[in-house]
Amino acid sequence: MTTYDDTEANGMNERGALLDFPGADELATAGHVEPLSERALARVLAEVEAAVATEGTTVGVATVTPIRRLTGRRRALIGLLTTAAVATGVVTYANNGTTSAGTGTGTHSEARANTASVFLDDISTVAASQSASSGKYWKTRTTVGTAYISQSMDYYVVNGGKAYRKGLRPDWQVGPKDLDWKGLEQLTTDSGKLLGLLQSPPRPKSISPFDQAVTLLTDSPASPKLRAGVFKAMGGLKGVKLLGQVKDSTGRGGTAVEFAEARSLGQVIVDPKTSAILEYTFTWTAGPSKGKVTHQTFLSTGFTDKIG
Amino acid sequence: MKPDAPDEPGNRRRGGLRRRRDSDPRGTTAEHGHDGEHADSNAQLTRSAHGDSVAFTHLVKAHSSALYGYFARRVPAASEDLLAETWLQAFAARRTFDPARGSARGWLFGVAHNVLAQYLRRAGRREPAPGPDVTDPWQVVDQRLDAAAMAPALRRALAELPADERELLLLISWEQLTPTEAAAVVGIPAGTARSRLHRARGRLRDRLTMPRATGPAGPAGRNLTATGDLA
Repeated sequence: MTTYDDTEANGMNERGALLDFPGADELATAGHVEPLSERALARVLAEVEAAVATEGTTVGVATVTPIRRLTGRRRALIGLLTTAAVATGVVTYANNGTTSAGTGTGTHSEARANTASVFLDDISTVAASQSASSGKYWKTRTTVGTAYISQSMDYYVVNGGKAYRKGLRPDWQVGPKDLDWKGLEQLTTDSGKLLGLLQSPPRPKSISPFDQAVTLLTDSPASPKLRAGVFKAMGGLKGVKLLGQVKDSTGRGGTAVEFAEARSLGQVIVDPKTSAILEYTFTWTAGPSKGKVTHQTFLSTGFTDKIG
Repeated sequence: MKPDAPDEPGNRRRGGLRRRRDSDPRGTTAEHGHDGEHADSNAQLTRSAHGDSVAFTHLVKAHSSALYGYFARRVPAASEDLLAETWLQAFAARRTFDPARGSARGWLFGVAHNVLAQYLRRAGRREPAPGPDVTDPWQVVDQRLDAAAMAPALRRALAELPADERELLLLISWEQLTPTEAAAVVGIPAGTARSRLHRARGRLRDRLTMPRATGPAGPAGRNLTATGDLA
C-alpha cells in the first residue's frame, strides 16, 4: 500500500479536500522558498559519504593501516569517497544515530569542521607518500602561463617561448617568518608547530593563514614532508570547512575546502589521489579590495633543472 | 530544483489544485507519478539498510530539496545545517525503516521533524526565560506569512489553530505530504491526524468564509460556506 491510496469516497484526493478552505492557495504560495543550491547539496553529499565511509571503516576494517603503507587502492577509495574522511564528529552520528548536540559532544558545525580536518589529515598522508625530488627551479604551470623560481629566488615567466626574469620573488610567509628557498628547507614539518606559526598574530600586510598555506602547497618547493605538515596544519585552522566534491574550471574532479575570515574567503580544490592543488580562489569579502577575486588553476607544479 | 524533487508549493500556480481537480477529478495522473517515486524511494531506503550505500546517495539527491524546504520555511538561518544533520541521522537509523508502515518520504520527514524539535529545544534552552521547551516554530512561520503579505484574517485564523492541527496542515500544504505521511511525521495514528485536519479545515472555513452569496454567481470551490459540501 502506498500513502497515495488515501482518497475519499467521492474520489477526490484527500489532501486536496483537506486543503479546500479559503486562502489555501495563498498559504501554499507563502511557503515558497529558494531551491537548495548545488553547492549546499554537494556539501550534504560529502558529509553523507563521509558517514558511509566511516561506517565501512568501522565495520569492515579491524586494523589501522600505517600511514606509509597506504595502498593505491586505499588512496583511490579516498578519492572516490570525496572526503576520504573518517570524521570524528560524524562517527558520533553514524554509531548511535544521535546528534552531537544530543550527546553533548559538540555542534553540527563542529562536526563539519571535524570532517574538513579529517579530510585534510588524510590528504596529509597522501602528500607524505609522494616521492621527494629536487631541481634547480620550481616550475608552476597554470592556465595563464608558466613561471619558474630559482634557488636564489629569481622569478621567471615564459612568454612566447622565451623566458623573462621578473626580479626576485618575495619570500614565503609562514606566520612571523619570511623564508627563502633555503629557509623553506629548514622549516619545521611538524604540523602542530606549523599551525602555531600560521596562527601567529598577523603582521601588517600579512596574508591570511590559509593563503600562506596554499601558497606553500602550490608555489614553493616544499618537500612531501612539509606539504604533509601544512595540510594537517590547515585542518587545525578554525573556520576551515569541507565543501565536497567539485570540478575545477578545466573539468577535473577534486574536493573543495573553504576558509572564511573576517575580510576574505579562500577556496581550494585538492586532488585527493595525489594531494595536488588543482585550483585556488581567493576573494576579498570586506575592506577596500572587497569583491576582488584572484583565481589560479594549476596544471602542474614540480622541480626542473632548466627553464623552458 | 531537481527534476525528481517534489514541486515547491510556491511554484504551483494559484488555484492549480482546483484546476487539476477539474480536469482530472480523481487526481490519478499526479498520484501515479508520485507512486512510482515512492516505490523507488522505499526500495532505495530498504536497499541502503542492507548495505547499498549508492542507494542512499540517490535518496539524498531525490529528497534533499523537499527536506531543505521544510527547514527553510521554519528555521531559515539553520536550514542547511539541519538538512545535513537530518541525513546523518537518517543514515544512522536507516535500518529502522519499515516500508510496510509508511513511505520513505514520510519516514525522512519524521527524521527531519525530530531534528527540528531537537534544534528548537536547544535554542529554547539558550533563552534565559524559564518555561517549557519551545518546539513550535510558529513565530518564524508567522513572520513568513507576514512577509508574503498574507491576508491578516488568514494569518489570525492560522495563529488561533491549535499547534498540533496547524503543524499537520502545514505538512500537507507546504511539504505536500499525504495525511498518512503527516501522521507518521508527528508520530500519531493516521486516523487521529485525519480528525485533526478535518477539524482544522472546519475552523478555517468558519473563520474565513464569507456569508453565502445569493444567486448562481456566488462563491464556489475555495470559497465554500461553513456548512460546505465536504464536511
